[in-house]
Amino acid sequence: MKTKKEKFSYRVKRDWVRNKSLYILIIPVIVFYAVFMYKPMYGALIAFQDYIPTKGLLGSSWVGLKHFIRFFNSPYFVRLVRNTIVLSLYSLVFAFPAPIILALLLNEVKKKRYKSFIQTATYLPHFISLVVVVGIIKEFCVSDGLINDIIVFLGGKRVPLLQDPAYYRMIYILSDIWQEIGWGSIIYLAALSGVDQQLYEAAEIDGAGKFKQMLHVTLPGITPTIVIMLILRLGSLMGMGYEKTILLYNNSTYETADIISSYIYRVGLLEQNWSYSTAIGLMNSLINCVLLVLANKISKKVTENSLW
Amino acid sequence: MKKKAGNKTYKLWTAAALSTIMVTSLLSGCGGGDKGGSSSGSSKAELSDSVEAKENTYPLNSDDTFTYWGVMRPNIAPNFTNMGDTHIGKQWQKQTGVKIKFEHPVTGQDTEQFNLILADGNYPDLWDYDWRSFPGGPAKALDDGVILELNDLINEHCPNLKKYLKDHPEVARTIKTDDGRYYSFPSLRDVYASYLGPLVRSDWLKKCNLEVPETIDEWHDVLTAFKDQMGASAPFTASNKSDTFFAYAYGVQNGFFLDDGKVVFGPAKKEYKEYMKTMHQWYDEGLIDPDYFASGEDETTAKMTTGRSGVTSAWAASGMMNYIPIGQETEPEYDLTATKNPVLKKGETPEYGYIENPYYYGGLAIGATCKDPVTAAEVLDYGYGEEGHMMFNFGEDGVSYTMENDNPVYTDVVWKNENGWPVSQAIADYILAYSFGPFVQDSRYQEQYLYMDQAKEAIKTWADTNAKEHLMPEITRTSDESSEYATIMNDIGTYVGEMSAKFIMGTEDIDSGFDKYLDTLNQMGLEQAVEINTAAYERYQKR
Amino acid sequence: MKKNKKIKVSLPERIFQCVNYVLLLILAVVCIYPMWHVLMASFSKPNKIIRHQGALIKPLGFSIQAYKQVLSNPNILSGYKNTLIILVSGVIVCLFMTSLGAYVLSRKNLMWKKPITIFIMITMFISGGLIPFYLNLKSLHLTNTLAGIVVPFMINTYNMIILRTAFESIPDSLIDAAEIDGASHLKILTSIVLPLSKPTLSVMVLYYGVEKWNGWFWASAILRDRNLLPLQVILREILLSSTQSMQAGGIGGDTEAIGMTIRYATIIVATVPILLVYPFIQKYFTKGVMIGAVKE
Repeated sequence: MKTKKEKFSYRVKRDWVRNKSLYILIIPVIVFYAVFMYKPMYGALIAFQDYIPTKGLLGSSWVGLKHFIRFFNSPYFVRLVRNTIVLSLYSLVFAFPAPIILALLLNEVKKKRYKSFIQTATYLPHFISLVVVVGIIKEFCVSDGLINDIIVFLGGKRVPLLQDPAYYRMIYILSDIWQEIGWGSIIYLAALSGVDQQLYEAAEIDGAGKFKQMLHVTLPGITPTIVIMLILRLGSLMGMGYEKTILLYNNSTYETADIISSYIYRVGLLEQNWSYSTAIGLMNSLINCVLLVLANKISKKVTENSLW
Repeated sequence: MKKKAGNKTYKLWTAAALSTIMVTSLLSGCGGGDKGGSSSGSSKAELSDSVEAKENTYPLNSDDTFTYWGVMRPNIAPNFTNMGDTHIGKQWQKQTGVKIKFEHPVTGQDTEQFNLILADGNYPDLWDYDWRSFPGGPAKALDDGVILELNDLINEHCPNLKKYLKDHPEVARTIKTDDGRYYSFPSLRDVYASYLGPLVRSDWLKKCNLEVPETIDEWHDVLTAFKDQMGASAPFTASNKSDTFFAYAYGVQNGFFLDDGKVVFGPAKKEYKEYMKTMHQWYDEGLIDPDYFASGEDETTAKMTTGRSGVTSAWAASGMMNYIPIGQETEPEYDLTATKNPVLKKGETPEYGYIENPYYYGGLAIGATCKDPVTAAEVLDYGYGEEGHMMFNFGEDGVSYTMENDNPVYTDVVWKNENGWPVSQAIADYILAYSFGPFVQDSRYQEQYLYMDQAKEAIKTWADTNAKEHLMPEITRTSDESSEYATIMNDIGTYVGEMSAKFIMGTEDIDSGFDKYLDTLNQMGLEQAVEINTAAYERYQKR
Repeated sequence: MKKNKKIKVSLPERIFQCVNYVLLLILAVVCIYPMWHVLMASFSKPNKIIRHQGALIKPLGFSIQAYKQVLSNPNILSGYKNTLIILVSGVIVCLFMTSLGAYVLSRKNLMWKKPITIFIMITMFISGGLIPFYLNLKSLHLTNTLAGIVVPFMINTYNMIILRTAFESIPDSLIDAAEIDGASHLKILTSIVLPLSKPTLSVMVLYYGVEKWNGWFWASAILRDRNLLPLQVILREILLSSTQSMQAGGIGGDTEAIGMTIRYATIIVATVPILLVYPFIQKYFTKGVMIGAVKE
């Protein structure tokens, strides 16, 4: 029964009657967010202050956009933003699909034992601390290291790979893939196991080969997962952390290696300024938020999957 | 189902509901620890003789328990969880006659935990922290009511420290704020320390028939010989990227220092160009590690101990005394010798070099909430007197040291510890001289700790400079200056690091690019940074 | 499984299988290598490791010195104990809360779904930072307690979104059928939705489990008592203090550069337990979920 105009209050009542138990179920969740996330959220305001821990929020002076302007005025502002975005995009284009592809390939493996073995092997690097991973990278990339040996074997000259800005991004992304491909594939493997086996059999009967099956059964089956992961990924584009960067970069690669968080880290060594780092964090979050909303809108139109 | 016309109301209600929840949560969370700043003391005069500081008798007659907050010294960590369990921790309490409850932040998280303490107001009584790095300087810590001003306390209750400061006016000046207030019981040395400097493979020098190099030209020859005759792939390497000791020969060092009493920035001096040119030439010739910029501490150690490098810059203790045993494992003749900092003309005494201010750590302060600051001050004064000095530097007489010819000598408790602990850990059980604390570090500690002759020689060799004239004293910048300074110097630091790498590697031509480099430095605000430091230096001199 | 397949395996398919196997093997070797390197280095003599360059196939001079130093730390046992408590209670609590939220948000025709989702997602972008978070916990008397490590982190929004996606893919018909039969939402959640989402739930167990196991930052901020510190904090301390060198005249020098091997030993000590968990969870992925016949 469709009515042309329904009063708002009527809709609320009807929704409550129908979904009362659901709303009750979610109360603990809402309380959780309110108590642990929203209550301290005022802390974000210190981005607009000259915050002093002893004076607290109410005692510190307000400075408006001072910290944002300070960052915008840095001679490195453009470079830092550019590097952050480029690295994130490279990561999106190369590192995001890698676990998906691995999951698809693993899915094709018939022997269970072999599949388990490969799975376990590939997620090991995720657990190795960054310091060790970067140490290994450095060992491979030095002038007399393994990679240069291969280059010489193929007829090239030895290059200190970690001192050339041109190679930095490649090294960063490739090592990211190396470290995270296995761990990242787990969620897709889980999604793949949820694809109805009957659909495969039906497709096979219809004469579809492996590739067609993947296209018409597998991919659509895990599309919701892929889309959500992609949207969430876009929502953290600007938040690149500094730990790997400060281990991997050096004076000669700042041109491509220095990102917003590593720059702020260095400022933090000279001066402990909570407000400044909070302001930058807020700026990044804002951009991330916009990206997420955009991605969500586009996704809604294109794939019918979205966050809300 | 399409949304119906009640949409607008729906959105209104949604917005209202969301904002109510959010605002209520936000407001209930508002109001962080609000510590109003206490009144700042007026500019204090020098500690005066008109007030007599009475001698304290230790152990003090006191029932007090003080809380102590300071980082866990790394040497103690493998064997103890709390400094109060160590011999020195117990001795400190016993000999001063008070109880001390030691608290340590989680290793590596001291800055975060420090700030949390600031925020929640639970200040310790004895607060060990490098107050020089407090945002806005130690003066701010006093103004904000975090720690207590010590002038009166020292004047009346700390005869030992008072005497030391009277005998060492330069130290007294260094440890005060610009407006003359004392804020902590400082960690001091009795020397201007030069514990870092050039090291060279002396066994290689012998093999190549070369003398210990002094001039830049001689260094060039040594490095070339190391490359050609000893097969070093990275003759010179170092993990300290800011500058090499070769810079000293040109009158340049990284950062700010004094030339004839004026504040200068090393990488902006015109001599920097010559220095860069030499380094670039050497890099081209393969005398400098091709991976110099990517090499960290681990890589440097590996190269120095496997014959890929023959020259580096390192500490006497953690560098030299580390490399030699490791190197000798595979090459019994492996040996290192320290050299003087290089010069341009033969026979000159090096003008510049690495040197540290005797005030090397920003001290033990008394927290503002301490209930008995007088006794606390008396406890902290102990280290500057004869008894306390011996305790912190050498431990317990008859246990960790014995007196031989009026000189304290460490016993086997330190050298051949019964638990099998390495010397660095054994000694940490009995003394504090290896790190920081409210006392003056005795150079006889260093002389014995550097048990290798090469290391003992090293610190003497490296001290042969005029570097003291150029050392920038411990100046303090105000809060406003701090922020501006940090912004400028971060950018300049990035730029200098990057350009130096480019000059040395040859990606940027020095002759054509140097003027632009200087211009850019000025554009980035170098002049303002120099002004800030000059102003701070002037304030320092007026203390 | 029928032994004689009706459809023969074609040649292109066999080539594909072969190439696939080889590719995966190469990937596996490349991924195992770093862990192998770490394992071998942890059993090596520190002085040899310092000098070493290049790949590592076997320990250089066998030594368990690093492990001795790590495992003899007075706080190691309490570290393991605390982490175990945090892990078990944390995963249970997290699963509970996350499932509640994911379930409700996966239902259709929920009028306030969008506002609630936005309410939750905002927290992914704005946070108060260390000090306000800490002060908040202090006002709730959660500081310096293990509960303070578990309760404020009961829901990871990212995980909840993933779980919600999984719940959404359960056919409506199943849920509707149960509703018609008079089942409450709680019953639907526990008897239908959760069992059908085992793969994603296992991933949740893994994600939350690893998060609890690896976490050290908040623990070091919230906990003051040494006896409450979880494993990773202890390990991190061991690592930092063995490689830290203080100012001039300071430590280091005379002894083995044990810091190097300790670094590796701490990784092994920290990682091996969690690695043992994964194979148990793995089996939930390999089962295909057969969604039974549903009468439309």
